[in-house]
Amino acid sequence: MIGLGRRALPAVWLGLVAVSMAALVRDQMTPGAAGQSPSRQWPAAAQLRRDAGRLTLVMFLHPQCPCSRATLNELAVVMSRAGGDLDARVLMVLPRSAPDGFAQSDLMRQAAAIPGVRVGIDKDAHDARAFGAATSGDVSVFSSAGDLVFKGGITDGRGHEGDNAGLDAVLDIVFGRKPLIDRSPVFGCPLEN
Amino acid sequence: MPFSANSATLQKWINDRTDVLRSEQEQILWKQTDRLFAMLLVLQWIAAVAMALWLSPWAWQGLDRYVHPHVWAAVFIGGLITVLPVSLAIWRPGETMTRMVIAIAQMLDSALLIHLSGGRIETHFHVFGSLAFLSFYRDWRVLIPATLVVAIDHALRGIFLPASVFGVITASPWRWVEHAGWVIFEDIFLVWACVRGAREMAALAHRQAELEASHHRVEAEVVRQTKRLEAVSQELVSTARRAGMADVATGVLHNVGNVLNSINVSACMVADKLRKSELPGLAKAGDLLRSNQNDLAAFLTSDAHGKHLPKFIMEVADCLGQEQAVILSELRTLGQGLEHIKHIVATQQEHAKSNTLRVRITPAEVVEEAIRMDLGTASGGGIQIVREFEPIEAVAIDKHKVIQILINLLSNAKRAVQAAGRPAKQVTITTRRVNSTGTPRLIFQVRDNGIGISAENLTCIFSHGFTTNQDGHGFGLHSAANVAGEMGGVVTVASDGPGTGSCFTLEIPVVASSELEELITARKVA
Repeated sequence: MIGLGRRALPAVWLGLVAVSMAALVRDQMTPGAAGQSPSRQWPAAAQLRRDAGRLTLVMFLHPQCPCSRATLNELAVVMSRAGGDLDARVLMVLPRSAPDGFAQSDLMRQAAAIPGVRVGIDKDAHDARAFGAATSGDVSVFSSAGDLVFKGGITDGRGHEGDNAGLDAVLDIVFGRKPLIDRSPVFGCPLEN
Repeated sequence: MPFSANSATLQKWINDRTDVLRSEQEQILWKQTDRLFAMLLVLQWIAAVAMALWLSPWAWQGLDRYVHPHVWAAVFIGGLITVLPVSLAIWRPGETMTRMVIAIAQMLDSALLIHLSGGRIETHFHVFGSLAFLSFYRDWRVLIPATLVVAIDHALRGIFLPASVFGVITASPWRWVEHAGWVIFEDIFLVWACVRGAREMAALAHRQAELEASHHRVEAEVVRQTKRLEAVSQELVSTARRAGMADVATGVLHNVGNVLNSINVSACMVADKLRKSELPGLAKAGDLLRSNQNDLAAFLTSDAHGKHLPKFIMEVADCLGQEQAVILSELRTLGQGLEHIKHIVATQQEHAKSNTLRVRITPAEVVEEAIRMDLGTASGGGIQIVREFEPIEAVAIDKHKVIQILINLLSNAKRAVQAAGRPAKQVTITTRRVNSTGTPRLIFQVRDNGIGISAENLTCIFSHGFTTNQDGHGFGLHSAANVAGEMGGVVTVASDGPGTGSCFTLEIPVVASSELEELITARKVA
């Protein structure tokens, strides 16, 4: 405060806060790493099996990632609107050498509580690699024919709920509309080191 | 203060005072609200850190974890948001800039909390609550920066960030406008409430200014009336002094008059004795002796007159002795009367000073002296004096004042019994000492079987000018009561009504010997 004019001080302060907030938002808006480019079909190497003839959503989560709570909240929105038309699978990814109970988290319980969602464990991140998922919150949507129709995140920032393009694309697919996008960035913790 | 000036000047004073009072009230309100917000901002900071630690303490990368950026954001950005407004609230309370910075900080806190909560819609309530809280200032201007912060924050998030991230415009690029619209919706009511609150505050200030003006007017009137009263009081004091001098003169004359009765009687008796004295007979005897001095022996033994002369001379000598005793007695009474008159005059001359002259004397002696001065002269009227004196040792009392009162009571009793016309006229005088309640007191009671006193007269018998005696002035009992008061005593009256006689009681405190010594010493020093 010393040496600063009384009128300049609030402006400096406001500038510092704005820069700090911008940095925070920038971090929030920085997407995670994209996985390997997936095939356009259900990966053959995947241990997870698809129910033939059903629209299927596969989501990979880091069991401890706090940002992914928002992703599950958005999934709950999707499921509430989709009814029984969508087969949703949530896999809790266990990195290699993960300790026992690493997957048993609030996030897993939250996922299991969403109606219509089946929760599983992806040991050693086997399926995550098969589906090309590197960041918690990665979603792949396959058509009833088994074609990949969407891949990406369904939040517009790390741990941030609200309308976003990924969510809209998934809902468009669920309701049989052509989505505006078929790729979106994923915001969350890296699934593996 | 223009309270005696015309109404325009007074109205201007009220308006100016209203502005001052309103400004004072605003300052008080703003400073209080600044302090409230300072506490709230600190609490919000703490809450933000707690929220970050609770919701997202760690960020993960596979099996590795590190402190989540939200925690650092809560600590440092939250602290940065808090530090300036709290500092201003402490060191610059009540200033416009402080309010504005607080308003901005409060809304920045909203943005931070919304961010930390992951954009939960429930956290947005903080925005609306904060706006309502800001209206406590009753200054609608603080809502402007607050609203701008909300609008800009949401605009930036709603427009630029999604676009920059996605490369496309999402379905709700103008959602921020809706958010800002709801804020403005609330603002409308809050601005209205602020304006109304400010008007009410101004109205209150105006009423208080009017009350103050009224109060000052009353005060000025009181001062004016007080001055008038002081002037009137001065005049009254002057008048009272003149009246008091007349009272003093009346008192002196009344009391002197009472004693003069006694002196007059004594003087008449002396004169009567001298008139009827055997002294002329002794002179004749002297003449006889002178005319027969050549043959005095033959005259005393042979002459018929001469033989009786020695016996005659002896009888005359006896008579003269008796006359001398009576005359001496009357002269003593006369002397006492004169002494009392002298004291009465001296007392009145020293009225403004302490005129207490106490002597050690028994109550019975005081009563006897009073009787001698007054009732002693009434023995011829057939009044029987009954003495009921308790044996009381000598005490220090102001003898002359007590005698003055007793003479008044005795002369009233004498008139009462004479007016009643009973064959047995009786005045009973009682003295006793009472030790029952605190200070010991002497009681002098004068009871008569005279005409008595009616109930309505009992209440005003000590009033100045009240009398039932055609020749009276209504001063004696009034004066007696006053003199008793000077001694710390009281005179009371009792009567069962006309024809039942009356009883007057003088009650005075007994002064201890040590106190008497002090009084004497003080008098000597004086």
